[in-house]
Amino acid sequence: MSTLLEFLTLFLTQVQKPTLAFLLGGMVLAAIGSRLEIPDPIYQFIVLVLLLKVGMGAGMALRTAQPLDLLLPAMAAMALGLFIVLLGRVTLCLLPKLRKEDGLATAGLFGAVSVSTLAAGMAIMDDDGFAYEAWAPALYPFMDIPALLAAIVLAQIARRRAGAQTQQSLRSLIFETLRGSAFSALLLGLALGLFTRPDPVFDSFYEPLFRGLLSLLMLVMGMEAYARLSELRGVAIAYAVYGLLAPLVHGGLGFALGWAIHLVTGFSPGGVVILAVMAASSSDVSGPPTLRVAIPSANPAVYIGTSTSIGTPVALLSIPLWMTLAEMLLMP
Amino acid sequence: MTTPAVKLTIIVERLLKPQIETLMQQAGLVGWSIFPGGGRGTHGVHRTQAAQLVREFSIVKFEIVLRDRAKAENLAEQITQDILVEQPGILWLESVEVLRSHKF
Repeated sequence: MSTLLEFLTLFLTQVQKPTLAFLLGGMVLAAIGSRLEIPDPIYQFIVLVLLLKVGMGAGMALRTAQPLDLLLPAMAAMALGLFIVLLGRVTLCLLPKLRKEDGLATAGLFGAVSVSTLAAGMAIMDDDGFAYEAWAPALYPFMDIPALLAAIVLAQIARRRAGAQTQQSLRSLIFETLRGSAFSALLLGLALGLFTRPDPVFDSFYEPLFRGLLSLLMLVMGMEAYARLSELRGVAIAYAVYGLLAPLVHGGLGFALGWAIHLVTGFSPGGVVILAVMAASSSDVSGPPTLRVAIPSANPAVYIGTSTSIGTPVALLSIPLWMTLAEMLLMP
Repeated sequence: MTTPAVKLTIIVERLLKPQIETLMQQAGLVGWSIFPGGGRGTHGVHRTQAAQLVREFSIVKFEIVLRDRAKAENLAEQITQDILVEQPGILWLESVEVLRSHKF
């Protein structure tokens, strides 16, 4: 009983942190019909700065990291991305009355990673002095790309079996994915951090702006999450249940795999939390347009609505859960 | 003074912009205009100026003016068949009168 109380107290303290508070604030504003708008150019600037910051920070840390330290977490990230899609295929595509393409696209988004959820996790952990390998955000593409590709390949196989034409080759889809604005910015940040010395501009510009910009992004995400709830009205209840449970199941899988790596290689508890946060998250910026082009027959209201309006808020609110679990299980 | 021509207008989500531009280049077109926009359609609200998580879901309007109506009709047909079978979008042709006809 005291353990449960301790857990709940720690959890409630985390939910009051600014990052999550702004998310909830955005949802409340949208719910009461507020006419507050964040101008799109400002939002684009925020996303660009955050992607470059996350990428650059990870790239700078990779300079001094041991390749072997990265190996297991990177493999785990890749395995998680693939497994989450396969799990989604089994659970969603086998349910009666659900369209296979919608299920695969949803599983693809949930296997992929949300950079905003990852950034929120990093900010919350930094505020708490919760140490993690600074290169851990570099695991992002290892989970994100295999998940999106797995969903696309499975959908293309299903279309061919059904006798339908597939308009784009896998090669061109990979190329288009990597050329997308979100990936371009993240990979540019990684490359700049790894191969150049951006430390002065990182310390004087990107790092100080990080938390403030992230709070605005959370506000936009909260507003968007509520706005997209209406899209789910005509969608099967199974997707709402999936959106609620998947982040917790996927995050739990990420946490368990991270814990195993912690026992084998000494991967830090913070690194375990980062892996869990990535696994719990669902792509909200780079994944949707990729899947719209690659699986055009899937209904975007289903997979984007499930991800943005339910999956992302649950994943964000679950960050304190993984931190609390790590504190209780890995930091005795 | 003026010359008869045809204007092809295409409204699609920004994510289809590269595919549309590729088809226009393949058709030998050298110039067109693109305007950002907003509105409501089968894929929900496309905001005009407010932030939306995915920029590629905002809408854009292409305008292409050609003196050769057959070429404009072929291009419209190809865009419809290659891109708009499974993706949302609307397009139309209209007769216009242009000045400086050598530009078209």
